[in-house]
Amino acid sequence: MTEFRLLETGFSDAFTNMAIDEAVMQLHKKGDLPTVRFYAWKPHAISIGYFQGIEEEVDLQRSQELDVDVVRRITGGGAVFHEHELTYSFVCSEESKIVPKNVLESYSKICSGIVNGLEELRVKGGFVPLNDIIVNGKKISGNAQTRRGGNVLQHGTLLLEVSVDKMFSLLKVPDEKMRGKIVQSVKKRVTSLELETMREHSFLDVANAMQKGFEKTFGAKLVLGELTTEEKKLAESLRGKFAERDWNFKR
Amino acid sequence: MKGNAIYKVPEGKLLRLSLELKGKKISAIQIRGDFFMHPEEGIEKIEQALLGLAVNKGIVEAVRKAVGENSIEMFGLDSNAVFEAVKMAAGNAK
Repeated sequence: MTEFRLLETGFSDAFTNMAIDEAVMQLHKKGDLPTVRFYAWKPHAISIGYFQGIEEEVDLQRSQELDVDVVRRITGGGAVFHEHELTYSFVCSEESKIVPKNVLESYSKICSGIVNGLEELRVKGGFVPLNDIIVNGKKISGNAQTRRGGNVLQHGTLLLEVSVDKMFSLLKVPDEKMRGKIVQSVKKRVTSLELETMREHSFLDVANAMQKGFEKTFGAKLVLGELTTEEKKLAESLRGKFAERDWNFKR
Repeated sequence: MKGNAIYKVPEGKLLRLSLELKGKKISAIQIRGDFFMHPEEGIEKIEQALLGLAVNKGIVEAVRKAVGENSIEMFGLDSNAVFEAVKMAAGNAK
């Protein structure tokens, strides 16, 4: 059976997390095993999409007060508050044909790893284009993809618990007069594993379920591995970029 | 003159646009938002393609040309959305 490499890097800061994803993608060569990584964020953090303006999306003062890191991703998409969630990333080469060439189809394929993982937890989820996973009509996972140097990197979140009020205390809204309405609306459109199952799930339980989900999607065995020395070195160097003011305040 | 716009793309993402006008021509422009674009550097190509244009003429064509020349794929926005956001931003420029 095909093997994929599984990385479980645990809790790291935002800059390290983004650096590891980029390092794995940059160093991935055609013929390498695809990598699935599960990780979490400590301290809690906000990541913004590549095209977003940091100051118009994030209340930077409040983030600093609450010791929440803020980082710009290399992927597009929106602002995400990473608190009680499992984050995954997936790296493979475009040439390997492990994911479809078509971007929308590739989102669907990789997201089906999470959808199948949710099924392991007896939660019925579905993919909604372009990049959402929905349970009972509410969003439980957001995903973002980039393709560089012939490789695909997709990363995404799976909400274990959600606190919409806390999230919005750190984010700005397009129209401050509409804040109340916007927060109410988001509460109706977002859910978490805790809300859907009325149970707590440990990070480990969820990671095991997602591992099975990816194995089912790709017909592969995920084998626990480690970052190579080269990847660790590149990640350390890239961490510098992600922590730089120039990078995060680019837009 | 400087103007800003927040434009919700129908069935798409939120586009935030800032521009500077010298007379009727765009002298600076930045397109931000929660959309996706491949390659990501395409956004700068599109912004560059809009410099020097008048806000009501040739915006859609310029975006389409930049997209074609750079093999850009856009998700959550399109050339019409950029035009609408440019008009909006120019409309409230002061």
